Amino acid sequence: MKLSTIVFCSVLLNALLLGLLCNPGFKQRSPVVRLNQITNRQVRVVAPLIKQTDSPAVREITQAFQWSQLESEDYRVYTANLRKLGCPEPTVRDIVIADVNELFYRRVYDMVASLQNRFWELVADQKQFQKLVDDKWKELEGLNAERTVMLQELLGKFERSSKRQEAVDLESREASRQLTDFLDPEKAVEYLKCEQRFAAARDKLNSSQPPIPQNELQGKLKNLQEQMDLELAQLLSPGELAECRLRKSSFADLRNRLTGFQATGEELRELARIDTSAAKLSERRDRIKEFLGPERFAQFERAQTPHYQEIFEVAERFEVPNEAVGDAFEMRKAAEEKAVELRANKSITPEARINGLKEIQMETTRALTSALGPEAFGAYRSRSGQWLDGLRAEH
Amino acid sequence: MKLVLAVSLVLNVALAAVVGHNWQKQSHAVEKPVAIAPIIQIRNEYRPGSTVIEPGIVTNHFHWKMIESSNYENYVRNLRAVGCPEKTVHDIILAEIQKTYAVKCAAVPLAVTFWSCGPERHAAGRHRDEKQREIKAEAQALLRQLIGVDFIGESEDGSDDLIKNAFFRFFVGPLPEPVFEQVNLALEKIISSTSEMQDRSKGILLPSERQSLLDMREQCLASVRQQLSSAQYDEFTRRFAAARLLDHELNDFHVSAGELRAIAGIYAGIFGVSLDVLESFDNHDKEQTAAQKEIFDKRLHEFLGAARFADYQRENDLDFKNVKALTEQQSLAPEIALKIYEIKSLFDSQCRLLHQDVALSPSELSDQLRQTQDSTRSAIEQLLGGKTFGLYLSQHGGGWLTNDLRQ
Repeated sequence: MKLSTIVFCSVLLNALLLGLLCNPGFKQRSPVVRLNQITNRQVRVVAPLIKQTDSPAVREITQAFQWSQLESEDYRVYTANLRKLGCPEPTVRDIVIADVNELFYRRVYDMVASLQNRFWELVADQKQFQKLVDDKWKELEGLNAERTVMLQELLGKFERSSKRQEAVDLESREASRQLTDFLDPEKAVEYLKCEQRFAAARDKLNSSQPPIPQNELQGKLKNLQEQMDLELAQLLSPGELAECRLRKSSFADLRNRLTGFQATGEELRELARIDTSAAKLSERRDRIKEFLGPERFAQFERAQTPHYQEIFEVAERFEVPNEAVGDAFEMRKAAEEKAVELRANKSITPEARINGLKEIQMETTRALTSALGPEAFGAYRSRSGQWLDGLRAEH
Repeated sequence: MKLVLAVSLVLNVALAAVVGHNWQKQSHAVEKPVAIAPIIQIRNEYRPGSTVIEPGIVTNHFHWKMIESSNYENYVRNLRAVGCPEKTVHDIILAEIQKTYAVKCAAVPLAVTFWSCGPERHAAGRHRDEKQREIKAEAQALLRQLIGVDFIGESEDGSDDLIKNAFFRFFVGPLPEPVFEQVNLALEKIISSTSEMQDRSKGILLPSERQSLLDMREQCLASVRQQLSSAQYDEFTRRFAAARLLDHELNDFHVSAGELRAIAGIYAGIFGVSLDVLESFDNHDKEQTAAQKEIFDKRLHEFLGAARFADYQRENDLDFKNVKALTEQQSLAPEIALKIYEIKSLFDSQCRLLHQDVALSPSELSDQLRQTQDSTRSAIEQLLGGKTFGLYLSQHGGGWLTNDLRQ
């Protein structure tokens, strides 16, 4: 090799090493994109990564620890510093999410600032305003997407869920616990895992792209169900399996909506058995009626009627006795029947019909006020009492 | 050439050493010995999920465990002791308490067997709600004690928090950031309280709850007023009144920017501050009394003048809205709706005059009313055409053409 080639290589290596040293990733501070600072907090940015392999420049702590030593104008450095310090991941997330949110609220401020002084001019022209709202909506959706990317870069892939969603998830976990409270804890866990696994498989089949033809899909879903039944039969005893099926039946859901209906646990279980075993609706009805007896069957049916539930909800808030709720429900039924009869009666004059309907309405109003009390009736009237106005309608 | 090579090689080695040193420094950052900041002694009070450093441990490395404590107060104190900015302390504590108490709330069991229904299940549900409210109150008290904040705002789905922030900023107007934050907090708080009350009452408010909501609203407004100058508060009340007016009274009536601001001022002066624009307030905002409405109409009449006030009244007339919707739906000329409105106004005044005429016997009154109604019906049928007229009678408020007028 010629000497000149070796010299050239060496000089090139020098240049490369110098370049590496000048690289921002090698400095303690990353390049900073300045934003307008509008709070007393440090403005942070996520500087674009030069190479995916670059590690963030973590600050060295060499004196009595102060929070400021963790701070950096680059979110990646800040996050890495927190982690290096042993800050638990959930706390890192809490800190970073709140901080990033604030950064984006400042972006919202920048977006809205120019419009704030034009409030009157903008809202007075509703069509233009609607267009502006639509445009800004899109911009905000864009900001949100940007925020999600930033958070994912900093915190890894994670679901950003609202408190409401978290509460729903927690409640659903509690519901699962109740569902399986008759099983050994280990079995319960296994059962729920199995359920979730098959639910996910069902979802996957249902949402597969391109969609599976209906017949084929039904076949696959049936196979899946059989497979699940097999697994559950291995996991649970026959008694446990039967109880699980009853608890997952549609009747089990109904128990939440049986307003004012009283029944023992054994009665409800029996009702669920009838419900799941009866092939036809009429058979189901007959068997339930036979089991409950005519009076309780009427109560059972009434409890599921929206008209009864509407009165019950108001009465419950105003502490009106249950008997009055039943009375009010019967009053409505009677009034509506009377009105239908009167409208169908062709032997009376239109004037008599109008007066008769008016009388039914007034009488029903009086009776309901007396049964529920004026306050509860007032609440019921404004919430669900439109049918009272309908009583006067001639058709 | 050899000299150049020698110098270059020396430089290679030196630069490689510096690069190597920097590389090592970065991969070991934070792990170098550090002096420990004064940390408050840990007490054994329960803070879920915290890792507690054992007393007496000797280390010259700083670790998060030194800040952590099983006691929230100590945790906050430790964070402050190391100079953690107050806002970050808030963020950490607020998020942690939110999560901890959300888990506590969700874990409150429905104290009833799976196979239960009706009153038994209902009572258990109420009991659980009550317990969950107690837990929330406990969380709020703890927050107040720790960081002086007693409100846990709702974190929103997707971009909803950004949208809400933009919306508030636009409505509240240009304010210094700390002032905006306080006003924002007051508004968030009233929205949250209202929504909680609605959830709890399932939309059926007891008189005491209605009153309590009105009181909370007054507190919210007092707190907003405290933050703003009188000019800013005046602007605030006008902007919220405008939102209400554009949603209701001025929905179909065009006004200029200046007029809108003036009308909003009139409205706020008579009805007070309207927070209708904030969700869930529609049902229990201060009820407008007939006297207040009369004053508002009078002031508006003065402001707009007779002709434009008549237009305003027409645009707010339910019958006109109905017929306008029908003509739009049937692609008829807009003038037809105006014409029908005029006919209806004339008809109403004729009926009034007939009813006031004491010289008419009941049967004469009945006959004359029926004649007026018949002729009006024919005129409208002609304007709309048979098919549309049928729709008007059955679905668009045309009942006045067939109703018994003697009532």
